[in-house]
Amino acid sequence: SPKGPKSRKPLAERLGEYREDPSLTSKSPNVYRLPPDMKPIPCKPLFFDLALNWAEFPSLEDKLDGAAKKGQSNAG
Amino acid sequence: SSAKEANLSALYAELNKFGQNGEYERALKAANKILSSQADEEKAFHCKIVSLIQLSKFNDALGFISKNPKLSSDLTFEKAYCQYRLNQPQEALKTVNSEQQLSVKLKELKAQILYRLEQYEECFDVYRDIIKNTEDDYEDERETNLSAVLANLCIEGS
Repeated sequence: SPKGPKSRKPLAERLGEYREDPSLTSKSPNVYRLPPDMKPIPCKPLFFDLALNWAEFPSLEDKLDGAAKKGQSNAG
Repeated sequence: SSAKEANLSALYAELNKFGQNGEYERALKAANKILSSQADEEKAFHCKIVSLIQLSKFNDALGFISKNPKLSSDLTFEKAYCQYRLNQPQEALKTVNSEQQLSVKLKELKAQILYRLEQYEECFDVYRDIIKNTEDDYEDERETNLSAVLANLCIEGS
């Protein structure tokens, strides 16, 4: 086969094929490539918390001149 | 008495000023001052909750809301927003959906909750609705959010 015992493919990348690999029982078994190869992943998209803009005071108009209005209605 | 009412409107004037200046620590104190003499002042309570939200004290705000159901009947948005920020998106969605008709701000929040819940299809529909029907200073940001939803839909579909 093209992949002789000298192939350096780590075990994790050839789980589907059977092969005697004496390295696996040695002190430095070739099981997984560390650190793994870099690969691109999608970035986290920008996302704004626009709901926070809606957290605002209610209109306090009626409370500001409330006393005056009540005075008027009492008079009238 | 009218003296009491005059005092109350003076306190509200103070509260209003702090709110307009974005001084929420002071606004919180002013709201508490009103509530300590008039415990049933719904607007002061509303201002208190908004101040706590602006100060990022979401746990406190949610606590006061659940302890005062009578004063909180109109604070659906504020309640759901606290739940959203406390990473309770399921509860937040329930709170939003307890309203029959969603105001624009509830729709905006619902869209963000659905995004957090990774329900991108429904999220997309809500954003499309908001973008069609609102005009404010945040249209660019909202379209950025919409494209984030689209990006996630693409990833899901691939």
